[in-house]
Amino acid sequence: VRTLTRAYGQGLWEGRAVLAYTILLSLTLFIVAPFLMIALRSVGKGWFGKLWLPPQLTLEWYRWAIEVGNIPEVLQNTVVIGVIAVAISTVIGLFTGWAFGRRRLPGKELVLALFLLPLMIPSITYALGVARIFYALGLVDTHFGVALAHVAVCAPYAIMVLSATFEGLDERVLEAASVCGAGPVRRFFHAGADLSRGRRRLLGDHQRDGCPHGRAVAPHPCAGPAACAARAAGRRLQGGVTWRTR
Amino acid sequence: LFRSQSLTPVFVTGAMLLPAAAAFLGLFCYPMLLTVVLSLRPEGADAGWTLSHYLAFLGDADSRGVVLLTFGLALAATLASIAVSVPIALALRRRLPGHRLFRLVVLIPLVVPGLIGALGLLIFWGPRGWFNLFLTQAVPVFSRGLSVTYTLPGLVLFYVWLYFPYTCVTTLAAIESLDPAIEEAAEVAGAGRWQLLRHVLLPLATPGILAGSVLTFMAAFGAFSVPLVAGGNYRPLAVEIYKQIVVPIPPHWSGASAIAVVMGAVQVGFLAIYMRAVRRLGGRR
Repeated sequence: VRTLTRAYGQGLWEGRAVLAYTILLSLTLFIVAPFLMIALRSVGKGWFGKLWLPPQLTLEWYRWAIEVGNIPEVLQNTVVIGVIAVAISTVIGLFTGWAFGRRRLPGKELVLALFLLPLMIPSITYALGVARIFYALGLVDTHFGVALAHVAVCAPYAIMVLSATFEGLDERVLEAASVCGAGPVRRFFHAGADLSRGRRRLLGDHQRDGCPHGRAVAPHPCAGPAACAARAAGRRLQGGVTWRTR
Repeated sequence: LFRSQSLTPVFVTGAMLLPAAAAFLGLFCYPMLLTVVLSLRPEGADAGWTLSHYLAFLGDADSRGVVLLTFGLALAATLASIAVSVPIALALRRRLPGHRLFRLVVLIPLVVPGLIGALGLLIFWGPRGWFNLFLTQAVPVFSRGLSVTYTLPGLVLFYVWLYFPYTCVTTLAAIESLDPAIEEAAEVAGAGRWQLLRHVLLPLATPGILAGSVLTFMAAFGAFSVPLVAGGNYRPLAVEIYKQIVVPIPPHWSGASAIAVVMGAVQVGFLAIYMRAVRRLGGRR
């Protein structure tokens, strides 16, 4: 009887596992298949009609992208804008995060909520104003201008992530630094900033693949504030698992 | 302990907040104010006040349709995301072999730029994509393909692909944070799998799921690049604003600003109502 029960239980367990794997594999198909098709289309030729796979393989689309599509220049735009936006947001985030995380600040919650406000409002609302200002200042169509427009959306993430980091810094490290004779400035730059570097890298990744489109359209600085917010939230939740092991 | 002796602490804290304050005022507050002011100016003028842009936008049935479309799309995508996320979270919760890989798969749409996702979706679900190939060749009922791209359900599907991870991640977190003892107690009390799910797991996780789905809603409500590329004739608010600036010559800055203000107001209003409802739901349990 016991064997039978166990076999029955096992069968049930396996039934549930099969169901779970079915769900997870359909999910994977749903998410990954579009990328597979992009990849195949990019090396395929003459792929018409009712064919599952491209009949011929070619690299000519890549040559076209480099020669006609001007990929090197576009890529350069993306990188330059990304680096500038990340740099400015990181500086803002470092100082503000330190102030929020480590210093006594009356009305901290309110100030933080204010700084995170740009994430709650559709970015196109204030992007219109940004575009008007930048037209007047001649910043439109410059790398710096596009990067600066991204800062409005990126800085709140930097503040959010780095406040949490500095709040969680191990006091003992800073005490040790203080014992070793480091003043507040050196404590901030040498101990604090080093410890938060892992988080900053995380944030940099987010901003680089999240915010700057190579050729950002004038009135719209980003994929959307919510997209970024949730992206950051997702990263952070995921970060609890993967980043700690690093 | 770490307060500087030589400098006034308040002054230092204030100085540290300066860069953020500058960005906040210069890149958010002032532009926001400018947008509002612009929306109240006659088109192309730097002086005078008028409500005509709001009246024109809100008085036009097509424009009201755009607001409704944006809202409906976002709501449909949010509900569909919840429907998709709950089974996935339940499957992931069991930590079967390979569950870490699937957890990463869930996050793929978040880390890939939306435009690439939209391109892939257009190809995959298009008339010559694998989806329609499968339908016509493997399912006997469909002799002709199903048009998904550039239709309203198709757009909802794309939104779900792009934005469901927000809901999924929070749903998973909500379900995993439940005390296993509650589940065991229910099992001891004789609850079957379905009863456990229906009366214990889902009610307890609901506040977390709803709070997380707000992110999906916000992303879908503000969606721009995806409907621009894959929306066809369906143009939500963000695209409409963009068109107001790009299509007419000279651009309709004031009209666009009025739409943007309406959009901001709708989102903030909905968020306020939704969050209050979620909080009340969370407080009751």
